[in-house]
Amino acid sequence: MTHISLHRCRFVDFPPSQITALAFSHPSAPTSPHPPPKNLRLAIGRANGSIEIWNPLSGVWAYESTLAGGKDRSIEGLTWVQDHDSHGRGLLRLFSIGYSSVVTEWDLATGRPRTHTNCNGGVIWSIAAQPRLHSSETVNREEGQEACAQKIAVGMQDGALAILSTVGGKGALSYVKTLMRAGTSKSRVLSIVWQNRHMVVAGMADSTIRVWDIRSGRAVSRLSLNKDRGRDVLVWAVQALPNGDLVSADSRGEVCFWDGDKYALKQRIKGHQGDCLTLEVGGINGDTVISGGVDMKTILYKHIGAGRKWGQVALRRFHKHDVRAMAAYECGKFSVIASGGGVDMTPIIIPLRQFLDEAHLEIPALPQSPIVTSVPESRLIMSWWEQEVKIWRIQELGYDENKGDELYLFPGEEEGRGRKLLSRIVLANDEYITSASISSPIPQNGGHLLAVSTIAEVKLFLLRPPRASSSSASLRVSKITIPDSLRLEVPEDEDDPDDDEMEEDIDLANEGARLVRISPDRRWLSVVTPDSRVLIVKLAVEPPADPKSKATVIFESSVFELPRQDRPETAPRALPLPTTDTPGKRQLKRLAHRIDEGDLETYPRTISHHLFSSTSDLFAVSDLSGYLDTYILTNSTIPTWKLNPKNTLLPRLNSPLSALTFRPSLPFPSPSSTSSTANPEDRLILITSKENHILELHLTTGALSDWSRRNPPTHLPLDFRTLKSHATGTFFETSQWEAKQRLWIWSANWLWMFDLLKDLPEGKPRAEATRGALGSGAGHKRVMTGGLVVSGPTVNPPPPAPTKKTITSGAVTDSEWEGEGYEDDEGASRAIILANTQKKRSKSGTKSAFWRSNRYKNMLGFLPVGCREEVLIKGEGWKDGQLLEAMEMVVIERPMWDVKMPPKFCKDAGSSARGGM
Amino acid sequence: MSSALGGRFLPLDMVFSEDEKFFLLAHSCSLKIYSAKTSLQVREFSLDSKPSEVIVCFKLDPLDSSKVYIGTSASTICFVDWTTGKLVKSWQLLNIRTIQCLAVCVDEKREDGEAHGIIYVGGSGSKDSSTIIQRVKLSLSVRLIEDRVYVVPKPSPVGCMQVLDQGNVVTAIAGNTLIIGNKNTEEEDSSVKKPWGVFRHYPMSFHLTCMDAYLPGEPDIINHKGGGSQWGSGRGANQLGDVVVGDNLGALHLFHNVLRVEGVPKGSPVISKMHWHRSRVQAVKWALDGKYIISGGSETVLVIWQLGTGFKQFLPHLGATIQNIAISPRGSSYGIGFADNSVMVLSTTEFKPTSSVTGIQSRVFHLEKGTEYPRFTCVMHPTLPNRLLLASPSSQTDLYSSASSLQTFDISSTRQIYKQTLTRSNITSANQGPDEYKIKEPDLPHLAITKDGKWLASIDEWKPPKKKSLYSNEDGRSSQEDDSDQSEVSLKFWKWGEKSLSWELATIVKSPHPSFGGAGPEEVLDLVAAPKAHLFATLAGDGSVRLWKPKAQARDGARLRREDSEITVWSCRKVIKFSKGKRGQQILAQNLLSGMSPQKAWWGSVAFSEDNSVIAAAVPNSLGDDSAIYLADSSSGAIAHFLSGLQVGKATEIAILERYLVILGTSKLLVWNMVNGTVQWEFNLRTLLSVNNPVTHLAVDYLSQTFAITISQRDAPSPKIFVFEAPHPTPVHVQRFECGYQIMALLGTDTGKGYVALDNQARVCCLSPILTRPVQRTPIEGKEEEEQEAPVVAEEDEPTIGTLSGAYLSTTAPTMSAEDHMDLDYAKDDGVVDHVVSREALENILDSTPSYAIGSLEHTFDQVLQLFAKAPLLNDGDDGDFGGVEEEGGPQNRSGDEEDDNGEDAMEV
Repeated sequence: MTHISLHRCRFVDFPPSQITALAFSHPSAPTSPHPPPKNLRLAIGRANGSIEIWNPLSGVWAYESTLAGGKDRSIEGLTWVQDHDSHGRGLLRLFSIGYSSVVTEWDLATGRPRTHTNCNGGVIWSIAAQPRLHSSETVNREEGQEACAQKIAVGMQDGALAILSTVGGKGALSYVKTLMRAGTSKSRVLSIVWQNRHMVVAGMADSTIRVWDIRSGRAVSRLSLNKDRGRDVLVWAVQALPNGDLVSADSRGEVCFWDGDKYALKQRIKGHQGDCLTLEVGGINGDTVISGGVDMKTILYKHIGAGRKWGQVALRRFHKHDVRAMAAYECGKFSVIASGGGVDMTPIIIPLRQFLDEAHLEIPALPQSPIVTSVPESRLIMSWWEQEVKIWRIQELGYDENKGDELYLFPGEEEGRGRKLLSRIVLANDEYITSASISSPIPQNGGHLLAVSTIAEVKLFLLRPPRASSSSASLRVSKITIPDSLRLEVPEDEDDPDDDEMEEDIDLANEGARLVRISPDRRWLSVVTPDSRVLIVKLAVEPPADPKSKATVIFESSVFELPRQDRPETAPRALPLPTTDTPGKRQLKRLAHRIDEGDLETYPRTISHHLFSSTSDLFAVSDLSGYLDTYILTNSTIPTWKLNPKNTLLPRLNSPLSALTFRPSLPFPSPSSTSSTANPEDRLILITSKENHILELHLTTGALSDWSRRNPPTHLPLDFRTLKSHATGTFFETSQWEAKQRLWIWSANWLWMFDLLKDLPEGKPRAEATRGALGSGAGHKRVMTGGLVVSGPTVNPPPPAPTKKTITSGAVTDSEWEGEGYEDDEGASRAIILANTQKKRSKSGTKSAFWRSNRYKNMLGFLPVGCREEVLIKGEGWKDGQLLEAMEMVVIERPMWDVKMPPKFCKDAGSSARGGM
Repeated sequence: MSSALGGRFLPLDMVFSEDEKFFLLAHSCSLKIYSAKTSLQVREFSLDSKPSEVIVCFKLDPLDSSKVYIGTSASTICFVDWTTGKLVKSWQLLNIRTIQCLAVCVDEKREDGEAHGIIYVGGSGSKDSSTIIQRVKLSLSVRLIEDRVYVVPKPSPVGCMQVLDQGNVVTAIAGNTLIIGNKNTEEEDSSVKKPWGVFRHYPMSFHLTCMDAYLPGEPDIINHKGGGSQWGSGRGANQLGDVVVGDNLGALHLFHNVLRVEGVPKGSPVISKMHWHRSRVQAVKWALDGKYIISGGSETVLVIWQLGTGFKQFLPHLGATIQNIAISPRGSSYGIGFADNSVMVLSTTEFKPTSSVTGIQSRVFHLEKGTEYPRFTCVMHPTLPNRLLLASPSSQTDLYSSASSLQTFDISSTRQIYKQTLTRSNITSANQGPDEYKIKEPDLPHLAITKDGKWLASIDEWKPPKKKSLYSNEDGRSSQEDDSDQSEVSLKFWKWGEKSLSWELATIVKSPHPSFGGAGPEEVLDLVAAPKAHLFATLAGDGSVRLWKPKAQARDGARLRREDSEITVWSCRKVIKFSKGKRGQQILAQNLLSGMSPQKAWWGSVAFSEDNSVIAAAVPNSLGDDSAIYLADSSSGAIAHFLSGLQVGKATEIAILERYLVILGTSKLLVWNMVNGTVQWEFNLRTLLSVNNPVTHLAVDYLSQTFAITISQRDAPSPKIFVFEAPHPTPVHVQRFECGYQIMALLGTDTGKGYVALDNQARVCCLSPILTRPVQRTPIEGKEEEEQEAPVVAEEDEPTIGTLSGAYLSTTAPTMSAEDHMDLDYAKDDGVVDHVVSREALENILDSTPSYAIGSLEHTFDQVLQLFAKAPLLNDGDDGDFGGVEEEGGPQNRSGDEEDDNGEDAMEV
């Protein structure tokens, strides 16, 4: 029996950043018969300079990686360019702008900026890429490369437009010319779009839209908007319809439709109460326009019939704040708009063609990779974001004789009760933290090791507990210098023995890392470099000899680079055109006629997860294309890591992993110890992002485990498989006292528990067909009462009870398993000795093998804290000498209502709106 | 008994004549034709049929614009020439039990010479309860031919129906479904061509309330007012039309291109959702050019949607919920029907009202079990004949809307004279609280007007919106107290402004009866005006009556300007405390009968005698199951007599008619002879009308010295009015009312026209004393009536007006010796009643000589004093304490009061 005390924390003040730009890597192809290209990505630019890369994956919307930003950086515009390739497999390149005169090209594989190109002008306000050359268009030989490559137009603060050429492949961006300035210096170029390959249309801040022909460099036309009460109208967005017509959105809240030939106003529709900030075009023939504005509304316009005009069709309020950026992508059935609330940090995926029929998908504003971790032994919680690391201690629960069987927080000051901020480390460098890892406590009160990585650096700190004499509770932080020249030992390759141990030094501290981790036994530090090499270095941590001295950390002289297994090209489907292929790159091509696939080079091999087993003798990494590499510590005299010999047997997963964990061996007398005596903890549990499959693999044999055999993914509860938000983390609950193997999986909005000692009931295949079916790529089909239900809001869960920032520890008892409600969190510091679940079990028969809760919203973490202990219970209703296992968990939430937002522009909005309107 | 006047305009779209000179409106049984220029009724066509048959729908005949089709609830179609007001022909439908709506197809060709018109009828079928739409071919000579076109799958009534394009397209809404039928389409999967084509369904989430269809190029079809079939076959076959529907929650859904003459447009239609209205969209119409949509609802705002640009134009503050919108055939004006029984014609260009018609704006409702009886507040103007002053709510049908304005209605010409808001009002602004409860306006529960018509007093009462109580099982008492804590009551006095022709506010008294303990104002239960003076009395829940009198005050510095040199301030002059009041009794009841639940209801009624001398008040007795009636001297405020144990139940109204006190309770009608101190006669109400908990009203006509009561109940067969003379228990007259109506107010006119009854269909009936003669236009014949009334008065053989006080209290009136003694004994027993000098005696002294000829003031004073001094002499020389009271300065005060009175009398004469 277990008693879980739950600390419900809302003090982690992670600041989500505003979304400023959104871009899909491919242009829409609504009439295409193909499914969306495999290399389709969505880039989300945030105001803190980070860019998140998402893989739509036909509606799965898997988070892949973050191109970390830095201090005082911002993303103001994003655009993708594909290098010209006659077979459509040119490199996909991502460009961004941000409050400077520089256009940045990003290297997705390393997460670093590849090049910066200064446009020699003012601050760039807008960016747009030239439409790709259509396959039918022929290019004269002499123009060649130059004509084929997509150009980029940027609009400056002073009203000038510059044309940049992307010709030359990776990293090459060259200035071509500045278009003749047409307006005054006041006319900022707020938005820019290519009407076709020659015409650039720019929405300016002086109530005009101007059209340039880049061949002549002259302004061709000037489309004037009426001034709004004497003030200049700001044209926040322009878009071109497939038939050449233009659409503009402006600060009057109007959407204007312009004739594409005569550049004359055709129609204007006032839909927004405030500024209309963004605009997207969609539909089979471009018959749909969607706009978003500061009044939080998203308005859908449709072209009504031939020869008739546009009409405002529907209005919905997805966001809770400004709608600042939108990006549409359509390919065949797949038809979505990614809508980023500007100040509202939540990206929302809206079905485009099925705007009225399907639900939208809201992606939590929280990071998809965990940014909080805990050290249960020391009751520490560590969080990291941007440039700072914060470490808290969660106070213990006390037992008050007077209050009966309940556990209480020790009384303390009201604010910050139950927790203590022990340390706040702010890194001096500009880059944001990509990963951090804290070690288990060093014996003899030696403190903790903390490894922090940015994209440029790896830093190691020693956190020592405060002196016993000092009154302050904060940790003493001291930096551990990483030796700047460590020998890099590249694994010897049997294939070329002549490469005999080339001595190479590596400056580990300045290598930068995507991920760092200190192994549970503090002996290894693993570093995944930005270009996804796996480095591992041995640490020798000496506990402090006496209370006065501090622990010493000595680096082993050599850094091992762990080899990654070369994955084959998609060999069975050998492509006829391997000319531009580079090794290590996989070509994904299902239909030979696809010409817009694009190429991401080594980006799909980017490592997204890595993990030590709890015994620190197994190590696993997984990459974005679903491959696993596992390593085994050889127990020779000099421990070295070797690629798991069974690695080749490990399957490739259907999608990138969303979480993975090792299944700890049973400390309890395990009945199955016969089979895996050598390495009891070799079972790796994987959770995929597509359909949330849970797989368990024996690393030593490379085979699926017994549990996984018995419980194939189709046996997983349908509700779990159709969860739209992906698992963020896991927690494995075991017990020293009884047979217990529970896997807790959590994401920002849900918490599931699977009891691995039990088998899942068989799923019903019928239901899968109905609900699991993906629609256009956003939410599922709405439940409809009839053919045409125009209204009817989607049900959003109500916000959690506004318990303020204090730590509140409610209690989860096992009784929650049964779906019973328990005492509300309002009751603050209270923990309840659980009811005797044993009785219940006998009553209600066998418990189901899983349990779930949607109680917690915007979870940053569901982490253990404190040591498990055994409590001897006496008293009424308890058998004498009955043991109770006590455990404490922390639920860390970041409620959106607690995030400070600037005041809303539209005060009146919301009062009359009901439901989905 | 006159025929019912006034009434309620049905919530049907008004119909304009083709030349827009007339518009047609419907009451429940009659069609009225109004001139657009003068807003006056020109003609009327009444259905002479069973009273239960009402007009359901009426549409202009497109072929002959002087004819109109009227559909009734008894499935009759009447074909009426409205230019003459004559019925041309009527048909009885066989397959339809109740007509729900009619649609006339403009240009459907006559198939043969016999057919006169083709009408599409939606209604409930006679055989089963299904809702059907059928096409009816009417002809003058042959029987009508009914073709069932379509059966609505769900038995929900057809809310609105239109037929367009030669009958090719039928659109209708039923429940939450939009139905579009197209004759020229075929079912895709079946080869059999149905004669009426395919009907498409568009189920929506919410109940649809209104619909309008637009087929371009045919503006006159849309509005059913077109001139004929000039639209030939030259029209493009792939003409696309739009339909707009409004739903219960305030959204308008615009179905683009769903109508098509030939075939059905492919794919699902584009549906625009336009949500501006906060609550149900009551009416929606296309403008004639199809570029605008006009909609209206309870926001009292006419919204004009410009479809091309998304702009909305608003015409706000129309005063009441918009129920119907009609567009005139030329598009020059909108006809808007409001929920407060008024109709307005607005010009489309400048939004100026060109004509308006207003009916009686009393509440209209159908009583259902469990609903609280709403209170109708109305008074007759005492001097101007036929003027009915009533508190009008903003919506007639909404039981919960408060009556906050005063409508003055001329019941003879059935026109509104003026309307004035007496309380603060927020009909036109957002009136929802944060929890979606409606914030109500103050209600006007009581009105009273002085007999000279110069002063009006009104009570307005505001209660905070009822919040959903979290703990529903909390005892009722505390919640009640909470209610009264926050409610606001104020008494306002209004002076009739001759120049402004409106009531000018003179005084506001906030909380006229402040409750003790400062727990908020007490509810004012009754307000009456004294018949002979500028005096109002209020009775409130604290068990006291307050008398309010005006006082002229010179305004500072206003003397230079001639006008308005003084202002009149009303103030409380006397408080007569009768009982412990609501709270006191509740506390008492709790203490005494700890087991019993404290009474919740508290009622009260107050009445003046005809000469102001006596004021009677009925309040619950201490147990709360019967009424206790107190009689007091209005001038001194002393309680003269106390009646209880009469077993009248809850006294709804009391009145004093000469020497009789008439008490109408829930169980009994009782006439108390105040002089004898006995019950003159009593009636158990059950013998009059066998109903439980009847709703009763009492009115007194002093001119004819009669009183009338009505008794009605929701399930009673028919209400009746009984007219009594006070001394005799046999009713002088019994007037039966038509079934289904409830009399909601009964008033004595005091101008010789008997009684006025207001029923729950906003109609007024006059019950005039000439019982044998049907009176059509009562006001004109006022004079005759008064003459003919004389015999009635003479029959009564009772002392005339003004003698009551003499009979009751005076010692000087020679004719009343018997009662005199009675009275004096009575006075002695109580020992409270002051000596009262008859008015005549005083008048003799004071008015015998004209004012310029008055000699010395001393002489007059001596005479007056003599008059007063006479009383103890006559009193058998008894007790001295009586005189002692007088000596304490009573005489001076008294004479002064009397002089005041006289002055007022003179003013009145």
